[in-house]
This record gives sequence, structure tokens and C-alpha cells, in this order.
Amino acid sequence: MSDAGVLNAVLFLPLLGIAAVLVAPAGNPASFAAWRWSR
Amino acid sequence: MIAQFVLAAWLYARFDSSRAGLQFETRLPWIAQWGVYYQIGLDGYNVLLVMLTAFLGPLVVAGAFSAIAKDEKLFYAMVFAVQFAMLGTFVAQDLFLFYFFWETMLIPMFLLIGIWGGERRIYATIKFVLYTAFGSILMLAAVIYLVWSLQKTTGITSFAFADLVKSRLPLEAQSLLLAAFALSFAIKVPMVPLHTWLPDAHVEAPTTGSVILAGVMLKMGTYGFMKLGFPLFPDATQLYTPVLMALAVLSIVYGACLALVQDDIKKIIAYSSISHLGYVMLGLLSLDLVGIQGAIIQMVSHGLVAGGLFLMVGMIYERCHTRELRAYGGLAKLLPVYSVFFMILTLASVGLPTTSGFTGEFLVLLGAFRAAWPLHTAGDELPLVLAVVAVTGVVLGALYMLRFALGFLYGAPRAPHQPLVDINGREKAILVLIVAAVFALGLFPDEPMGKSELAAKSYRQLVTTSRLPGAKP
Repeated sequence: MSDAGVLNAVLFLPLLGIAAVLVAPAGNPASFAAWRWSR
Repeated sequence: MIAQFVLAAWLYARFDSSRAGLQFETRLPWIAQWGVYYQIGLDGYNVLLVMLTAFLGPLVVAGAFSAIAKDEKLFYAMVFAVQFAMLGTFVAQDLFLFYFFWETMLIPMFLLIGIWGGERRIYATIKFVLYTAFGSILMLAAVIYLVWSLQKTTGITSFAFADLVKSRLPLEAQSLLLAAFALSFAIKVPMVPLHTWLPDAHVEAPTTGSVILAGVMLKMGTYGFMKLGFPLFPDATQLYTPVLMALAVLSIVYGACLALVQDDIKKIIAYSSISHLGYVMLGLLSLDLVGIQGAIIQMVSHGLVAGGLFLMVGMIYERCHTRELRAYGGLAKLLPVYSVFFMILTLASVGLPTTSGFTGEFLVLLGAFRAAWPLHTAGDELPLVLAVVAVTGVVLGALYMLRFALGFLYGAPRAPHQPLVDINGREKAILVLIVAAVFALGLFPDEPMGKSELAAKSYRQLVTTSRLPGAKP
């Protein structure tokens, strides 16, 4: 990925975060990490 | 958030300080017939602020783990949304995109304060939105006029910052446009007398909201002045510099005086923010290279220190459920580890050498004096008087922060809901990272200053070059 691509990733990663917390069983990112780990 | 920080740190390391202008640029048409582009990139103006935002992001989330019990999903979604909007505002290189992110930021922040805030959260969040939206509407009108006048004079329809700085406007138009932009940015900073929304928003916001506000969002105002407000309208800026400088110094002293008499620990830090950001404005207005770089360092320093202090207030509030300074005493005995971190951040806020607070404030004051001295010898006393008055802010800063620390940490031990448990591993990790960054910026300021040096030079050149119609390019 180019450096410009990395900057776009930095900008848009929070949107991925929104999607992640919405699909996780609990909103707390720690719970989300634990949930992912258990699968 | 951690992945975001890692990628931002990678970009920070790759950022070439010897190259002026935009790096890592993306430019794609968005609404092509209006001249609107999705244009983002890093330059010396925003690289440190992007890094600060990405650094504080994971810490803000980690700090909220035990504090938020209601609607967790929506809460974290809003934290991510505000992070997205703040980063977008910093990296945007097109005025339309900048305005889009600037406005987007209001929605998640409105919800963060309005849903997870304190008792008077609705009052605080509406006041916050009304103030900010009022400034934004004026800025929108100014943006439309600016783009229209660029199109009229050059035939280019563009919102790109690089094109807008080529516009030539008479002094009256520059003055009106600067007033509109300045009002919007000054509300966000906030500068006295437009500061009254801030203490309410901070007091009623959840810890996360306060850290986002103090850590990053207030810098939107000073960044806006540096990137847009002053460089777009240089002749009006120079004309009104004495007024703006006087307001900056008023913010420094008035904010410090108000912090001195508060009994709410969140309000003390909120008013100290007004004072500290007054230094940023003073540095930017000094138009001295050292002062401008000091202003940029002060922005980052304040984000770290005030963000850290708000996190610490949140930690004690979770344990004792009160923010009244009078309810506390002798915490050094009750919570020794907490007290060590608190004292370090207090001293950084005061501006003790080796901490980031010293680097920022010292450079700003040095810049203010360096700029004021030639004017003083030429018979203009005002800048020198303002620089001298600004120094008193440092003394007042020491006074209110040490009064705070003295009442909080020393004396007979007292606190509600005893026995208290000292900070846990998660809280220690957050504070260690913040304190490490505070010392890194205080002891090794060369690296971040190098990243922003060319931007500081370009800012000075833009603000000191006349762009009245007919002026030499």
C-alpha cells in the first residue's frame, strides 16, 4: 500500500471501528476483542 | 484505534521534514462541477495534530472501559465517529471537505455529552452546539463568498486551500471574511469572551468527552486560524493583529484568574485550557518563527497534559463520585501511585522544564518578545506590554495548579467512599504513555519542531505577504 493509501486507512479506520462495535456482542472494545479471540 | 495509531506513527516516521508542501496526497473528484475534490494529505501544519489525535484515541477508549455502562455500543460508535471527523478536519486540503468534517464532528459530540453526560447535560450540549453552529454558519457564508470571488477574479472554481490562498480581495472584504472565520474558530479555541460554553461542556461531559474536547477538539480552532483564517486574509490579519493579540492575552490571564477561584476540579482544568490556548494564539500572532513553532508544540502539549488530567479526574470521580475540590485532601496518602502521576501532569501544566508545557510556553513567550522588541524600538509599545502581561499567565498558572494539587493531594486524608483502591494496571498503562509523551516532547522537542519548521515558515510568509488586488505576487 502506498503512503497515501496508509493515510486514507488512518482516516477511515474509525468507520471500521463503528462497524466492529455494532456487530460485537457488547459495545466495549475489550469485550469485542475477547469475542473475536474466542471464535 | 491501536491499528490507526500504528499507521499514523508509520506516516509520522515517513514524513519528510525537508520537503515543503503536501505529502501522502490523495486527490479525487467529488462534486467536480463545483470544483469540490476529496483532497487529503499531510503537511507540517497537521502532521503533529494527526499524531496527537491517533495517540489519544486508544487511550480515550481504554479510559472509558469502566466508566460507561449505558448503551455501550452507541457510545463507542460515537467515539469512533468523532475520531473520524477530527482526523478528517486535520487532513482535509479542500475547504468543502474541511467544512464537511468540521460540521460532522458536532453530531457525535452532541450525543456524547447529551446521552452520557452529567445532570445538566442537555443544557450543556445545546449550549455547545448553538455556539459552534452559530460560528459555523458565518464560516459557511464566508466560504461561499470566498469561492465565488476566486471564480470571479481568476476564473477558477475551486475549494482547494492551495487555490484559495491565491485569491485577491480588498481590505474590507478580507476584514469581513476574517471576522466570519475568526468567530467560528475563536468559539472553538475558545477565546474570551466566547468561552462560556466550554466549562459547561467539560463539567457535564463524560470523561471521554472531556478528553476529546480538551485533547483534540479545541485545537481545531487554533489549527483553523493557522491553516485558513490568517493565511487566507493576510492584510486583514495584520490590521487586526493588536486586537487579536489583546484577546489572546486576555484569554491567558482571565482563564487563569477564573481557574484560580473554581471549586469544581473539572472547571479548574477547563479554565486552564482557555489560558493555555491563549498562548497558542499569541504564538501564531507573533509571526515569529520561534513563536509559531512554540504554538504548534503548545497545541500538542496541551492535548497531552489536559487530556491526561481529565482522564485522572475521571479516575477519581469513578471512585469518589464528586468533583468538589473541598471534598478531597491527602490523596498522596490514600492513592500514592495516582498522586505521583497527578503531580507530574500538574507540573507539566505549570510548565516545569523537561516537560512539554515548558517547551511550548517558553517558545511562545520567546517568540512574542522577539517580535515585540523591534516594534518597541520603533515606538510601538503594545506588543511588548502584551508579551509582559502574558508572562503573568505563567505565574498565575503555577498558582492555580499548585493550589489545586495542594488541596487535592496534601493535608489530612479525606475523600468520599473510602477505602479507595489505587489505580489499576489499565489506568497505569494509560498514564505511563501520556507521561512518557509529555517528557519526550519536553526533552526532545527537536524532532517534532523539525517536522513543523517549513510549515511555520510558509505560514509566516503567507500572513506577511499582501494579497490586496494589485499587490505584487
